[in-house]
Amino acid sequence: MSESVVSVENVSLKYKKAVLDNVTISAAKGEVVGLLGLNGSGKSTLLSAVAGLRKPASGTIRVTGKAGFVTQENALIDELTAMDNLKMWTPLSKQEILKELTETELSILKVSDFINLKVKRMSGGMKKRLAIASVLLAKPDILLMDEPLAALDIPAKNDIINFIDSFKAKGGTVFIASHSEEMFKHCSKIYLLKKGQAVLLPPGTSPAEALNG
Amino acid sequence: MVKAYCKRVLLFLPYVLCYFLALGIAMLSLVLYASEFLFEDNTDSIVSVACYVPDDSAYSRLGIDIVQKMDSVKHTVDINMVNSEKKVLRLVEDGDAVAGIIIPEGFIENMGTPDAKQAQIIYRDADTYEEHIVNDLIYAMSDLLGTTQCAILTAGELAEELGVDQKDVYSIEGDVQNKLLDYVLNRKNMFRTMDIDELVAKYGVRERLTASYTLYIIMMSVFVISFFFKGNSPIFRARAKLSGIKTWKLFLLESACTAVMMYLLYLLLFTALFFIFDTTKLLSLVTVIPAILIVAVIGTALCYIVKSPAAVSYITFGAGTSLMYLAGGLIPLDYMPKFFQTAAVYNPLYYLIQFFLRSMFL
Repeated sequence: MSESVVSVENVSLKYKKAVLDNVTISAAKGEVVGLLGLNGSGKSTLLSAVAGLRKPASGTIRVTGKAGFVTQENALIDELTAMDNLKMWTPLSKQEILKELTETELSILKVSDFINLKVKRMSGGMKKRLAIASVLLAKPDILLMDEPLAALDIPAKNDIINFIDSFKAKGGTVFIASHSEEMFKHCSKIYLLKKGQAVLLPPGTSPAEALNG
Repeated sequence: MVKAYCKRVLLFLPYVLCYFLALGIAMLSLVLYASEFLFEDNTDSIVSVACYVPDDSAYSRLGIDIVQKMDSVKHTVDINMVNSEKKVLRLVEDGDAVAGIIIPEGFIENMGTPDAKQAQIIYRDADTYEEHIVNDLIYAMSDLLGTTQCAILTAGELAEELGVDQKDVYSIEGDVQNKLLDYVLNRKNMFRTMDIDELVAKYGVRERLTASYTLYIIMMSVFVISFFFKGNSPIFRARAKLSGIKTWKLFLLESACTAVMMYLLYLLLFTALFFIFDTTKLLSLVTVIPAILIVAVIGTALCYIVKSPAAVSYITFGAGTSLMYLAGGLIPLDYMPKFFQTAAVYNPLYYLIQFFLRSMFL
C-alpha cells in the first residue's frame, strides 16, 4: 500500500458542541476520497482543518505536498473578469495563464471560453469552473473540494467529474465532500461522517443506504 | 492582488461618486439653506417700524442709515421708510408697524439749541417688548447724531472765538459724517471676539456645518463601499490565507482603497465648495488626508467585524447619524440643549468633527 499524503489522526474539533470527535482518515497519492454525511455533520470543517484553516483541539493532521481548497461558496470578485480574478492569486502573466487554461488538464474546465466575462454575469457553473481553475493554477498536489457539483447542470457536472478523473490520473489526491451519488462512483474510498465520527464504508456500499443506515 | 484592487477601485468609482454626488448636492443645499437662515439680515427682524424723515433733512436720513447698519438693529428692527407723516400713522394703526417715528424738519440741526425740536414716536401698544427695542433704537440714533452735532457746533463756536470763518468749519461736516459712518461700520474691528471654546470663535457656524456635513457624507460612503470589502467574507479571507496573504495585509489594502475612494469623493465636494465658499482652502486637499485615513480604517474595520453589507448600512445610518447628531455635526451644539452640549465631549465623533474642521479650514 502506498504512503498516505494526507493523514488525519484522532482529530477533535468543536465550536459549541463537538463537530469532529476523534476522527481518523487518510488518503494516498492518486486517491479520490469521498466524505459523505448529512448537513452539519462536519464535512466542510474537516476539509478546512486539512487545508490548515482550522486548528484541531486535539489530534494531528499531516499533509505532504501543497493543498488547494475549492470552497462551497466562491471567493471570486464580482466586478472583475475571470482573467482578473485568476491574476489575483497567481504571479503568472496573462499569456501564461491562457496557456495553462488551454494546454493542460485545466482545458477540461473550458474557462478560456469566458475569460473576459465579469463574474457577476456568470452562471453558477462558470463560477465553479473558475473557482477550481484559480485554485489549480497554484499547482496543488492535493485538491480539497467542498460540494463541487452543487447546483450545476449536467454538462458542468460532467466537465468537473472529467477534470477530477484527469487530476487523479496525473497522481493528484482529491478530497470531496458531496451529496452526489454520481460523484462517489469516482471515489477510491468513502468516509461516512456521523455524530462527529468518520467511518470508512466497505467497497460497494451505496451512499444513500449508508446515510439511512 | 494590488493591481486587481486598483482595477476594482476604478470600476467602483462611478457608482460611488454618482451616488454621493446626489447626497453631496442635497447636503450642500442644506448648508446653503442653513447659511441663509443663520446669516440673512432680515431673518431675525421681529419689530417693524415706520419712519418719516423730511426731504430736506439729509442729516436725519444719514442717522437712520447708520443705525440700520448696527448689528443690534439689523437683526431686530425692520425700518420702513415712508414719504409722509400720515402714512406712518396709518401703518401703525393697521398693525403693519409696531411703532412709528416722525422726524420734524430741522431736528438734528437744532439739537442742543433753544429751538430744539422733538421727534414723535407713536406706539400701537405701548409698554411692550417692542417698545423697548424702538426706544433703544432712538437712543442709539440720537447718541450718534448728537455726538456728531455737538462736535460740529463746538467746532463752530471755537472757530468764532478764534476768528476763523465758520463756513470753513461747516464745509467739513460731510467728512465728519463719513467718518462717523466709517466708524460705525468698522467699530467691530476694535474688538477681538473670544470664546471659551476656541473653535467657536475661530470658525463660524457655516464652516462648522460644512465640515461636519462633508465628514458625514464621507462616513456614509462606507455603506456604499461596503460591497467592495471581500475581506469581510470568511471564504475570501480563507482563500487569501491559503495563498499566503495575511489578513492584516488584506485589511491594509482594502483600507487604502477605501481611503482613495473617500479622497476622490472629497475632491468632488471640495470642487463644489471651492466655488461656493471662499473660505475653503486649497491646502485642505493635503490636510484632510489623515482624517480620511482614520475614517477609512474605521469603516474597513466595521466591514470586517460586521457580517453583511446590509448590517454595515444599518450601523452607518443608525449609529453614525445618531452619533453625528449628538456630536453637533448636523445641528450646531450652540443650538442644542445644555445636556447635549455637555454629553458631546464624551462622543468620539465630536473630536473627529473638530479634527476635520481644522483640516478643512486650517
